[in-house]
Amino acid sequence: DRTPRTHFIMDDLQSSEESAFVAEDVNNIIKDSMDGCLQQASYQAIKVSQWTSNVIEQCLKRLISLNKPFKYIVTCVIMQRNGAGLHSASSCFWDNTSDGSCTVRWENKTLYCITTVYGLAI
Amino acid sequence: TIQVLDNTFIMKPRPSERFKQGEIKAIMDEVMESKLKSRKYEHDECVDLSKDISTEIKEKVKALGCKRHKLVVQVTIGEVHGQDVRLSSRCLWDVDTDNYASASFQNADLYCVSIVFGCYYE
Repeated sequence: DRTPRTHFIMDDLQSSEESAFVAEDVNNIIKDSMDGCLQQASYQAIKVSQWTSNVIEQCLKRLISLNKPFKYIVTCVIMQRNGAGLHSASSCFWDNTSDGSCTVRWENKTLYCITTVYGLAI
Repeated sequence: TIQVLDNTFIMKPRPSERFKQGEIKAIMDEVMESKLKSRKYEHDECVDLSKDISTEIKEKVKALGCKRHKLVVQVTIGEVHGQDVRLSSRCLWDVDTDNYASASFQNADLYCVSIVFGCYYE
């Protein structure tokens, strides 16, 4: 009989704490990565791809060091400030109890940066 | 109590359940085309428009039948104003089972970029 059955177990507080998506920690990680990579940056088209890579790599490194059983997706948008508008929305099909996302907006005089981290429990 | 699904002991998605990159891209192109064909960028409308598009893409991808994939759909709509913008993403996941699809759309007044990430859930 190969059909999967469902059954209920008692809530294990400790295991759910260790393997839950903690938005606050992730928020700090993203902010620090963006501050570190873009602090003195003034928008330059040739440098943008390097910056997005740096921000994302930094984020991923620190997320991995959290040692949680998660798959991560990190997206980063860098946009020149010149009066244009931008909207971003996301729709997710996942498990609300264990998965989560975190978005941080960062800006300076010449550019906007929006970084989002999605964490999906394994 | 948490509801737990019994282990199916299936390590990878069945061939019929693999992430269908080509079909998903076609869906995204179609949804963006139908919703944005001759629209102008308007701040208030775009808030709902981006949420609409992401929900619709998510529902249509679910209807394709990848039951064991968690989905993340991200939609970004921006105004065309002569500025430069770069959107990049990086993922920490299992290369054999997880994948993504992306599509973009542009008209005279606005541009739209959408990405769908699919992560296999064991």
